[in-house]
Amino acid sequence: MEYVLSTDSLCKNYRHFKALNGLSMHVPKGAIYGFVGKNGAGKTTLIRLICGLQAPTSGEYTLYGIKSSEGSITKSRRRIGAVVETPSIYLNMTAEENLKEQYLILGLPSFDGIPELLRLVELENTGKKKAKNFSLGMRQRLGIAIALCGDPDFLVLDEPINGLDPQGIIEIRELILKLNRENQITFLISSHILDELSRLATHYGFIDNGRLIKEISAQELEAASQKCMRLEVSDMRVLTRVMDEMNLDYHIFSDTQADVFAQVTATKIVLELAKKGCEVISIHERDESLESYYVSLLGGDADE
Amino acid sequence: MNKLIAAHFMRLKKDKCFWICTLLTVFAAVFQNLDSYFMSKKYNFTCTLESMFFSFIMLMTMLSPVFCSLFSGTEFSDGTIRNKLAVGHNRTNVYLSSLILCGIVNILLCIAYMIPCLCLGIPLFGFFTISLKAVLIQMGCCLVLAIAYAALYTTIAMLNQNRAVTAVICIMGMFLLLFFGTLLHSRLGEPETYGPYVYVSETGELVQEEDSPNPFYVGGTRRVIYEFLDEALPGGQTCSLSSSNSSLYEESGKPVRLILYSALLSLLSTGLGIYFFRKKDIK
Repeated sequence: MEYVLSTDSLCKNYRHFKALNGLSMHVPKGAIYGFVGKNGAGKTTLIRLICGLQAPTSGEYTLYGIKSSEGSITKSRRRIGAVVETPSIYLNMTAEENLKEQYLILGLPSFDGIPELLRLVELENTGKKKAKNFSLGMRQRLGIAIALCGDPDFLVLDEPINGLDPQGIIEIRELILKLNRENQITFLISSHILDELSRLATHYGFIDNGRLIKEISAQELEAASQKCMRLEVSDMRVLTRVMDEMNLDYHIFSDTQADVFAQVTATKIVLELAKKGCEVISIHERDESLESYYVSLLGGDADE
Repeated sequence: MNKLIAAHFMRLKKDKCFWICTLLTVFAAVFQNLDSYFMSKKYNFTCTLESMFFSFIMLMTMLSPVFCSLFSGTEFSDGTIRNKLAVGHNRTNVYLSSLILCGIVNILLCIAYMIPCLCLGIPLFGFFTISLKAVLIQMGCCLVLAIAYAALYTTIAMLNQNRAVTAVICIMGMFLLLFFGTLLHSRLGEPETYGPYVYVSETGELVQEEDSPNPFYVGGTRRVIYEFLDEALPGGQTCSLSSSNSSLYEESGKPVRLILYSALLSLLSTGLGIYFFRKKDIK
């Protein structure tokens, strides 16, 4: 498999604190790589290293086949675009002026691509409005547009949907999917909003305390996930007895509701319960989510 | 680096701080010329063009920390320095492009004073009464000093990621430099002796006193040190260069020394600035 980015035992220390502690990860070409971890796990630190904002304490990374220890790493950085933490935009400039500025930084010969970029991120009608008057979602989209200047092959987004309203989240999601499908751009997205990430990512990397705990593709995650049925019943005692008799795993989380972890036909369970005088009020099939996979992998608060 | 400088210039065109500083400088030049002209008419004294022409260096000294800290500090406060580094520009070029821009702006601020001063001053007061060579030498010293200030403030701005803190340090630094410059200048300007004077005693007799030594006169090794600091520190140079300074062309070595000290300060602060900026963790 061809990797856009791979890291090898990457370490970054801030005085005595180890932000990255021997992190090794691999971002395949064309993937949307979801980088998952708690606050302070080291997600942003890794992104800062890749973008050249900071230097690793030890270990190295390879970007488009060029190692970070080589001088030519700056050339391979020309193929990437990044939005690190907050969007990097001049607040007293308009969207168009911000893009012109980035075009000049990149040394692009003309500003011809700017209207198209503004259309892509749906900022073509902002006119003379300064970026300081933009909503958070608009700033985020402008940040992505700036990162897209120069047609990068690899886009690094750090918490791209943090603080966005539902409409903003949908817009950013659609933009990422569109860029990935139509422009074949590889994404590395750090986030702790797992539900949203699960709608986008093709690969996941789980980081904790500066170490990569698990690297898995979305397909592998789906295969590894347990299927479950959520049952709402009239008598929980009957349900537990039936589950024990059928030798099925279950988890009770209220007086009337329980999750049953098995791939059995619903009819079989319903008939058994009915025989014992227990009514099934509702039944839903549920996949184990990225969130529960994350919790089972790392423990702790899933929303962190 | 040309790309970065081009991007800086595009931003400069839209920069409010730059335009405010420039307008202030032009206004100050016009005001000082007209004020001096009307005062000279009212109190009947002769005013020369050179007596106000070199004030530009004092004005630039005061405006430079404001502009440099805000312009370079914006890169950190808006986070846009990341856009430059993330696309592969190396840190030395990022640093030097900021320095070049600040240096050019300092020189532009000087020019923004000189042009209206000459346009108004020549018709009102006539041409310089000192030689053109002396004017050019002093201007040369001023321009190198302007670059030294840019180097100093760029170093502070590039090593500090908080724009407000940068602005405070730069402005406080400017006041400190000017304070020490003025202090040194005034102590060095003390005469060695008080001249002879005559007074009427209590008995009504005229008494003539001979020269008496000035207790505030700085002499010996202390004077050598004071003179060195006055020439080496940018604040002292600003005080020396902000008025028509005959000692500049009377002492043949002084302009060279001033230029050398300014160049040395620029090189030292830029060298240290680049060294630490390359090692700096940028957030």
